[in-house]
Amino acid sequence: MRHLSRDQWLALVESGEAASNAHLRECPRCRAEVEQARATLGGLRQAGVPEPSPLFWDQLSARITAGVAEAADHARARSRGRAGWPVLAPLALVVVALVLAVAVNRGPGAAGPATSRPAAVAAEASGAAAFAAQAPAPELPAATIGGADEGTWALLDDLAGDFDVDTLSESLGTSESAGADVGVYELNAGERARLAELLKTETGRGPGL
Amino acid sequence: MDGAGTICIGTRWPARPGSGDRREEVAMAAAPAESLETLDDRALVDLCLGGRREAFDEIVVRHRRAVYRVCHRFVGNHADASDLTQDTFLRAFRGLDRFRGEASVGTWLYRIAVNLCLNKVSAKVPRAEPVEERELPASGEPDAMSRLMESERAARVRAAVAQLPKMQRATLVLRVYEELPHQEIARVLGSSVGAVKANFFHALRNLKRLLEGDEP
Repeated sequence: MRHLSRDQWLALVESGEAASNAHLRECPRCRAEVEQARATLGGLRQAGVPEPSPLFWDQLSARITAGVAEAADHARARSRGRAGWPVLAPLALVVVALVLAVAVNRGPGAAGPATSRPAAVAAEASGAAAFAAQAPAPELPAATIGGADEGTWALLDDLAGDFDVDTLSESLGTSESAGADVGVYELNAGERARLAELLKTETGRGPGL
Repeated sequence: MDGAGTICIGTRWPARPGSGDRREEVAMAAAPAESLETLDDRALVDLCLGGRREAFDEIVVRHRRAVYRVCHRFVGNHADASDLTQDTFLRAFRGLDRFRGEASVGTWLYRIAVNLCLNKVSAKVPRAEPVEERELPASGEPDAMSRLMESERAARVRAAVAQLPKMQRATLVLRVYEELPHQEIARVLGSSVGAVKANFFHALRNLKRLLEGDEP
């Protein structure tokens, strides 16, 4: 006698039509197997999942909603960062010029120690500061605020007068205490001189043009 | 549908008028929040992609019980099931733009949940269900004894299910508890209908053996 195939067996176990099946009437082995499987299935269906606390569902939703908001903000910030980078790079140069001008106005005493933090830390502040930090300091001429490079600072001061501080800060997100200004204050003398040269070139007033 | 309330964040991202994107047009013409309940899942996905994030809250409300149930069947405890449910929805949100609508939102969520569960659980080391999570009857109830026995039996069955190989377990959970057709299960698990039937067949046989060996 040919016994039930796997598909026939499953169909009978799930359908509940075992009683009317001709093969099962004649085959005690298949009948027993199908009955046992049906009993197992019945036991399975009765074993429910314990119901969580009634408060659980709202808490779960709140957690998911918070996670979704965070994910959406993150995605938006990422796409904004990608879109704004070409605009931000030149703007970063301008804001650095502005900050340097402020430093000139405050005088040598207000600028703080030139080497209080490594230039690498300043690099986090802005793209322009990062560029300046990468410059090989030993090859640069010594320069100090209010020293022989006074003409450079005057130029920066002049440049800074053309820009609105609040607008630039908002555009660049540098209004926090650890923004570009902090980075520039903490450049050493050589790095500042190199930055000034770059700015001169960038604005068309430099020696290279 | 689960009718419980949920927290909605009413943020609406700006749509570009005239962009021709159907999803954005749907979002721009979006109905107020209270009518989200009347929309089908697909429309909610479109709204969500158009910037109506609260539409996703409605998707969560509709499917959270089913997703939680599947996760609990897999991992056998509330804490992990809860975390996996949350992860399922967050992953779904992040991948919403890849939802093509070929399967239902429910099937798509099942697929995410099952994949997370398969990564999480190990068939060889099933985690025991904490006793405090079982639904135990109060001692004063008239049928407390029979309910206690029922609860014990259910815990034994869940423990036996937890010992099944992963794919057998996934098939069994989706077939017996979620009552998905074989075709749908194949879609969720990324396998064939034949493989689903074979897994279900072996799952029932293995389960019978496990439960017989567990009889007191």
